[in-house]
Amino acid sequence: MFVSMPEYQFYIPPEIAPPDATYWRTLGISTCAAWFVLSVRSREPDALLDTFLLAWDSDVVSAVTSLDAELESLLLVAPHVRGRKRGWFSKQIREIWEATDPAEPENPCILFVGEDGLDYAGLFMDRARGFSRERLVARVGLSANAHKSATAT
Amino acid sequence: MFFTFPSFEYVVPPELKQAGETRWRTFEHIGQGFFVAVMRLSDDPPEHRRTLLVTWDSDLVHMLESPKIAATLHSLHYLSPWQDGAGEPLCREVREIWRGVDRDADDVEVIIFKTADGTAFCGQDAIPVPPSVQQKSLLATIGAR
Repeated sequence: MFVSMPEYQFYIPPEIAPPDATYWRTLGISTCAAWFVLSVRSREPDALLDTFLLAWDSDVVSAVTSLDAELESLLLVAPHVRGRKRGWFSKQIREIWEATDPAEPENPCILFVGEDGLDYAGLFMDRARGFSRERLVARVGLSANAHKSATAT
Repeated sequence: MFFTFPSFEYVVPPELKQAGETRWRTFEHIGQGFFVAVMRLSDDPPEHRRTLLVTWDSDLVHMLESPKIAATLHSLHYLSPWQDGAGEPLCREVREIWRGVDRDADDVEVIIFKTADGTAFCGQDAIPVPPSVQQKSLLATIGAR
């Protein structure tokens, strides 16, 4: 979850900001759970990139399935929860799947396939071993473009 | 710069948050670079960590030099896909932060970042360090232990 404090706010004149938008120069993170940076591009000509920071994997799925836009990139940022390393690591995500954890078959989950070909899932985006991929939600970025090219030829 | 809309807020009972803070499930970002910094505050227990996402390098330096910050334990720099030129975001671990001056610009102050992969750049948008920039003082070494 992201956190804002009044002292982090940056004043932008309402005439040049979208309605109801509030701007921030700094924000905090309230938990050590994984979060995501999603970049999409509207299908309109000369559209700029829109970038979202998302706290929940379910919101990533909602965004990619509801936005009428090309998925340019998805970055996963997760905590080092094992070993001596502190802080966060990042992975570029290539695919998003609805999946099932064999240890909890009654609870469907969201699985992310990283640039390294490995599967990640859960609150801390641990390595997901033995999960069953049920339905492809989206391919992202270069992976999606390669898929489209292959489909077209 | 980050921005929010009212619909992005996640409502938390006031008893469960600090005075003045607002919780959000989503932020939008205008697409420039930003820093992730894991810090320990002087008044916090040693095991307590705080993570901040910071837009400007000057704000990060102010935090590093603030007596309220006991240590900066880890830092990442995020570069947007359109800035990197490769069409993908670039996220690198920052290991050193230096203060320098640009001799071709009336010795204006610049902040230089050195990453774990050996890259050096200026500012939040990762401008390659010009030859006219001279390093002056080391502000922080991060994550060396």
